[in-house]
Amino acid sequence: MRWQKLLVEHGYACRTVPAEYGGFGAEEDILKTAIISEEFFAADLPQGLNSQGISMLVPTILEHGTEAQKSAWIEKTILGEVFWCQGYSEPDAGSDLTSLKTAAVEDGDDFVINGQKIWTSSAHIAQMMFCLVRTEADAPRHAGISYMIFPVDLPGIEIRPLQTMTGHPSFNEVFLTDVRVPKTALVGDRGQGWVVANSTLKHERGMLGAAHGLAWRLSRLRDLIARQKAAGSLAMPIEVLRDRYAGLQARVEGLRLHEMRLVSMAAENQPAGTGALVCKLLGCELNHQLDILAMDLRGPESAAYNPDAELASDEIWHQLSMYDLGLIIGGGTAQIQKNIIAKRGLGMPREARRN
Amino acid sequence: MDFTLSEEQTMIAEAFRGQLTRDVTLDVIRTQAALGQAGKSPTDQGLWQQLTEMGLPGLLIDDTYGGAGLGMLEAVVVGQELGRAAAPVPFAATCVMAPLAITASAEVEQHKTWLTQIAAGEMRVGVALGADMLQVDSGRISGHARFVFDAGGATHFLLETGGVFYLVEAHASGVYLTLERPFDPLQSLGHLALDTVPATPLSGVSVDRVTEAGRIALAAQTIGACEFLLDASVEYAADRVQFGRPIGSFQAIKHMCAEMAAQLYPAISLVWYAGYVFDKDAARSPLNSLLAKALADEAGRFISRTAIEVHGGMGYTDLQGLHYWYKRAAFNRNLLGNPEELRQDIAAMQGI
Repeated sequence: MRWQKLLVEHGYACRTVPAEYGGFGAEEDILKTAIISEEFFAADLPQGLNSQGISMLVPTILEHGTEAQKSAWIEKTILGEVFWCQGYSEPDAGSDLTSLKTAAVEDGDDFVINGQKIWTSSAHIAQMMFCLVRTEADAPRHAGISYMIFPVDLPGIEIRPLQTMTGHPSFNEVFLTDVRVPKTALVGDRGQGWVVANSTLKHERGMLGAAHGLAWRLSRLRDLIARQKAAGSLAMPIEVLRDRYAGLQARVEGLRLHEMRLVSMAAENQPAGTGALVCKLLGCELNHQLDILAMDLRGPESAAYNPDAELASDEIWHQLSMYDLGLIIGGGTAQIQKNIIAKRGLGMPREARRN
Repeated sequence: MDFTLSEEQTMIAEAFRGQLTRDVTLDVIRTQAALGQAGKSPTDQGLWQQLTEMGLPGLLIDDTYGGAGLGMLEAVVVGQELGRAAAPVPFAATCVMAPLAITASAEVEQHKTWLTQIAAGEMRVGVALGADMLQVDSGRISGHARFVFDAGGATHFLLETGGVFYLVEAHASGVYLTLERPFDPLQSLGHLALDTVPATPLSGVSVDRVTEAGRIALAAQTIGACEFLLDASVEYAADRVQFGRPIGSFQAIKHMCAEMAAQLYPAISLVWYAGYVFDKDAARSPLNSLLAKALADEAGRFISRTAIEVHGGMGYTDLQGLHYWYKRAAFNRNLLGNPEELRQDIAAMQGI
C-alpha cells in the first residue's frame, strides 16, 4: 500500500488521473507510459496494483461519473484503499453479455436489484462492485442496460466462492435479492450502461500487457532448461525441446515487437486497426504454451502436484497453466476474440442473428 | 526507437506497390510462370527495367556507385511488395546478397564497376552458399553447385565454398548452367557445372552476414505474400454467397481469417526488426534473422494453405491463381534453412 502511494505520487502509476482526484495529473503520453512499464519490468519491480478498479472503474468514472462519484472513489481506488469487483457476466450471459437479466426496478429514490452474477473475481475481497443491470425490461438488448456502483455488503447480497480447477476460489457467484441501491449509484444515464461500460475499452492501451508476462515465462523456462541440462535430467530429446523452445521464442519475440509497433503507432496517432485486436488472443495462448512446455520438461515430476507451490518454485507451472487456460476463456474467449478480429478488424460481414 | 515505418520507407513501399499493381497482372504472372516451368528464366524484362529505374537492384548499393544507399529495412519493405505482387523478378541474390558481399569485400574499389552495373540492372548475379562440391585451383574453379538462386538470366555467379566467395562470369567458357524446374515458377534456381573457370575471390566477406541478409530478404517476400493472401481471402469471403449469405459471415471462415491475421502481424514486425537490426546492431542480427525467417515461414505455410481453403474450390484453380503465392511461400521456406533447421540453430546459439 505504501509502495502504491509512492508510485502514484511520483507518477509511475495512474499517471493520467487528474491531481484533484489524487492522481499525478500527467498528459496522456503513451511512450512515457510504455517506458515506465519497461523500466519497472527490467528492474524486476512491482508496478503497483493492477486491479479492475484501477484499470476499468477509474477511467469509466472519470469519463461518465458525477463530481460526487469522482471525489468519493477515485483517490481511494488508485491508492488501493478500496477494491472493486466487476458484476458483468451472468450464468446465462457470458460471451453473449447483452442478454443479461439481472433486473433493477425503480422504487422511489432507489432501484431494487434482483439477479445473479458469476465469474466475479475478487468479490470476496472487494468493498464495491461496478455492475451492469437491466433497468428497462422491455428495451432490446443493449438499450435496457445501466451501469451502477454499490457496496457489496448491502443487505440482500450473498457471495459464494466458486471452486475452480486450480483448487483456489479465484471466482465467486454473487446473488442479489431485493438489493436496494440509491439512484445516485447510476454511472452515466439510465439505459446507457452498455456505452458506459464499453468506453473503458478505448482506455485499454496496456499494449505491453502481453510482452512482460511472456518474457518472464520465457526467462524462467530458459533457467529451468539450463538447470536440467547441467543436472543431465532433461525429460525430452534435445532436438524436440529446442524446436519447441525456439518456436515459442520466435512467436513471443514477434508479439513483443508487434506490441512495440502498436505503441509507436499510438504515439504517432496512427489508427491501430486489426493489429491491436490480436494481442489478447496471442498473448494468452503463448503464455499457456510456455507453461505446458515447462511442465513437459519436468517429465514425471509434473505428475506430482503441489497446490500451494510458491511462485519462485518449479512446481508453479501447473498453476500457471491452469490460470492461463482461464485467461484464454475469461475476458472474452479466444473464439470471441477471433470474431472481434474478423468483424471489427478485418471488416468481415456480420453473422446471422436471431431476433 | 520507432517501431513503425518512417515516412520515407512508407513512400518507397507505396511507390513499388503502385508500379507492381499496374504491371504484375495475373496474365503477366501466367506468361512468366510458363517460362519458369519450361526451365527458362521467368524474369519479366520490361518489369525488371521499370523496377531498375525505381532503384530495385541498387537499393543497398552506395550512391557513389549509382545505388540508393539505403538499408536492409528498406530492402525488406521492397521485398514485401515484391512478395505481395508475386513479382517475376530476381531479388534475394541479385538485389541483396550479391551487392552486400561485393560491398563488404576488401577489394570493393577494384570491383566498383560491378556495383555500378548491378545498380544499373545490367549485371545480374546468381548466388550459391555452401557449395561444397567446388574446388579452386590457381584462380580457377571446377565442380558443381546446386540451388543457385536467381540463376535464370544471370550474367555472373557468386559462389561460396570453404568460407570464401568467388565471382565467375556466366558466359565464360567452361560454365554449364541448367535451370531446375522451381516450385515457385516465378523464381529461378540453377544447377551449375564448372570446368576450370576463371574465378575472382572476394576477401573478407562474412558468409554469416550474407546468409542473414538472404534469410531476411526471403522472409520479407514471404510476409508480403501473406499480406496479399489475407486481403484476398477477406475480400473473397465478403463476395462469395452460399446458403444465402456471404461466407465471411460464418464463424468458421471468420476464425480462419482471424488466425491468419494473428500470425501475420507479429511476423511482419519481427521481419522489419530483423532488417533494422541487421544494419544497427550486428551482434544481435544472427539470432534475429533466424527468428524472423522461422516465424515468417510458419506464417507463410499456415496463411497460404488457409487462404486457399477460404477460397474453396476456386482457390485450387489457376483462374484464381492463389497457388503462385502459395508456391512462393513454400519455395522460400526451404531455402537458406527451413524453420526446423533454423530453430535448432536458434536454440544452440543460446546454449540450449
